[in-house]
Parts: sequence; C-alpha cells; structure tokens
Amino acid sequence: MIRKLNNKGMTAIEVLVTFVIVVVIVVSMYDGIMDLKNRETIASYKLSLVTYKNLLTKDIQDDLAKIGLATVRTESLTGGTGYRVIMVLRDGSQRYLEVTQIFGCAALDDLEAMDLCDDYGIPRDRSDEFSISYGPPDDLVEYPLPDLGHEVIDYNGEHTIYSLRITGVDVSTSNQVFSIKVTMSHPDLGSRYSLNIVSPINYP
Amino acid sequence: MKKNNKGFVLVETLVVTVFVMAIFSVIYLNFYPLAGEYERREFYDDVDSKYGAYWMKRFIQSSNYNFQPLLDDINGSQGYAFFTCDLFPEDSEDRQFCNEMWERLEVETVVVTKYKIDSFKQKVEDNPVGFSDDFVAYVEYLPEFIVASLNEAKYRVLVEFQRTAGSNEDVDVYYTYSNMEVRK
Repeated sequence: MIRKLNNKGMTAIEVLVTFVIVVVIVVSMYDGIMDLKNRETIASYKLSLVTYKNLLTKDIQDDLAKIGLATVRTESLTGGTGYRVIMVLRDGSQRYLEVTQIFGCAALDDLEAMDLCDDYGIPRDRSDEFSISYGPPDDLVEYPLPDLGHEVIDYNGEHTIYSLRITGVDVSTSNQVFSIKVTMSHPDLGSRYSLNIVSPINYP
Repeated sequence: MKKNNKGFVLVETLVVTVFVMAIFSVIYLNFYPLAGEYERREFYDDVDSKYGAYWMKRFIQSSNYNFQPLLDDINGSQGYAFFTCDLFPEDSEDRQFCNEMWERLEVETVVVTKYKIDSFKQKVEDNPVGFSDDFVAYVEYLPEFIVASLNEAKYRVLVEFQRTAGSNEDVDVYYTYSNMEVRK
C-alpha cells in the first residue's frame, strides 16, 4: 500500500509570523529578566551585609549588655587612618573597636582627580581600605567588609575602589550614654545597614 | 482510515500562547505581593531593634520603675499600656538614662502587654486608634505566644523605632519593630 505523506510544510508567511511572535515575546521578557537578575544580585549583597552587621553587632552588644560598659574613650589611629574606641567593661576587662577608613582615588581622569582626590589629599594611585576590628587588645579580631562589588581603576597606577565604603564614624558619650554609628554606604543599598551600637555607661 | 495530518494552525498556536501568558500573569500577580511582604519583614526583629527592645525591657524591670500604673492599664479594660520614662522618680539617674536611651535608640512607641498577646492582637485589630498602620501589621504578623514563658515572664514589650538613614539631602525614614518578654 502506498501511503500518502503530508509534505506541505509551513509557508514562508507562517514561518515569518512565528518568528515575529517569538521575537516580540523574547524582547518583552528581556527587561523583566534583567530586572530579576539585578534584584537577585542586590538581594545577595543585602544578605552579605546584613550577616556582617549582625555578627559584629552581636559580638559587641553581648559584651555591653551582659558585662556592662564602665568607661569609654576615643582616639585616632596612627596616621589618621581611622578611629579606636577603647571600652572598659564593668569587670575591668578592655575591648577595642577599631574602624579603618582609608579612601582611595575614584577618579578616572585628571579633571575628576583634582576634584575628588587632590583637594582631599588622596594620592591618585591609592586603593580603598575599610575594615572594623573588635576584641580584647591582645586578641583583636578583624572583620573585613564584604566585597559587594569593586572597580579596578587603571589610571595613575592600578588601584581598587569598593562599592561598599565606610563613609562616616560618629561617636558620642554625652549624658552617660555611649553610641557609635559606623555608616556603611552602598550605591544600591544606601546606608540602612550601618553599624549602630548604643549602650548606657555605668548603668546599675 | 484516513489520518489527520493537518497539525496546528496559526490561530490555535496563538490561542495557546495567550492562554499560557495569562497563566503566567496570574502567577506573577499573586507572587509579587508575597515578595513585598517578605521585604517588609526584614524590619521585624532585626538585630538593632532586638537590642533596643532589650534596653526598654531592662528599664521596665528596674526596681525603681513604678510599674503599677501600667499594670492597671494592662489588667483593666484597655488590656495594654504605653511605657514612659516618666514613671521613674523625678531627677533620678534611671530617668535620665531612660530618656537618653529612648532618644539615642530612636524609640517611637513602647507598648507593654501580657505575655500572651492573643487578646492584644484582637484589640488592635478591632480598634487600631493610636497605632500606626505598620505597627498594626507587625502585631498581626506576631504569633500569640500561647505557650508559657520558660523564664516565667508575665509581660511582653513591643517597641517601634523610627530610623533615619542617608544624607541631609536624601533622608531615608523607616520603621523597625521588635518584641521581648518582661519579667516583673
């Protein structure tokens, strides 16, 4: 028996219409997928930063809440590269909280370098360097900031500028209450996830 | 028997495509509010708020704090009380600590309830006057704490914080919440 096959196939216009539909769908989905991809990246950054902040906050607050703060004083780190907060707890032990804040030069050309670096005395080939250390003076533990994106600038020598930067350190001991806010800023996350410690001094 | 070898025509393909896209749209529209809800919960019981609530609890538990007026409200028809530093003795060191910590911790509202908050949840749901919408949402989110406290706590403190972040030109104001049991 001879079986008759359907060899008609698709016409050119059908192929064309199908192709156009597929292109329209892919193009319309592209923005959405890129947006989701971007949100996923930001969510992972947020998770890293929140985890970092939580660990550091817990280590400091555990000492302040469980043992209690007796006295506190602040001094500058050698070379003005940051701050050291010297805390004496109620059991007589000491804790150091050191914040290193060295800004690199984020300029990409001579014009920017004058505005962003020269005016602030930042060498044009310097990299960012931020970190927080906490612990007893003889056992200080460094908590390096998580890398939430960085840029290697190949201008006036190769150097690195990080997206997450420590942009401010505010310490207060007025009215018998110690507070320190280490502002950590990121272009996508803002400064909501900064380190914020508050504790009374010599609270009975 | 003659076989049907015609396959799908373009209109059938289009109908199926529209149908599938409609299903995806429905799924997306239902998923999106869940994502928003998840993002809102990142401000519930975060580490700063937890330690902030801890200090409010310490003040309430202080032997110098006059807890009786709060107790009257908690056990009365209101069923809850607003904590205030003014119930420490006037000019006392405790009151100064309390007021300063309140300000530095950016505390907005402190509510003291019974340990189990089933009736408080009902009261807030029935009459949310005096509470912000976000606070009401936090109370709705909380469990009722039906199981008794292992520490024999009888009360609970719920704290609302008004946080500010960002620079002067672009101030970011948001609210965070936390709760903690109180032994008194």
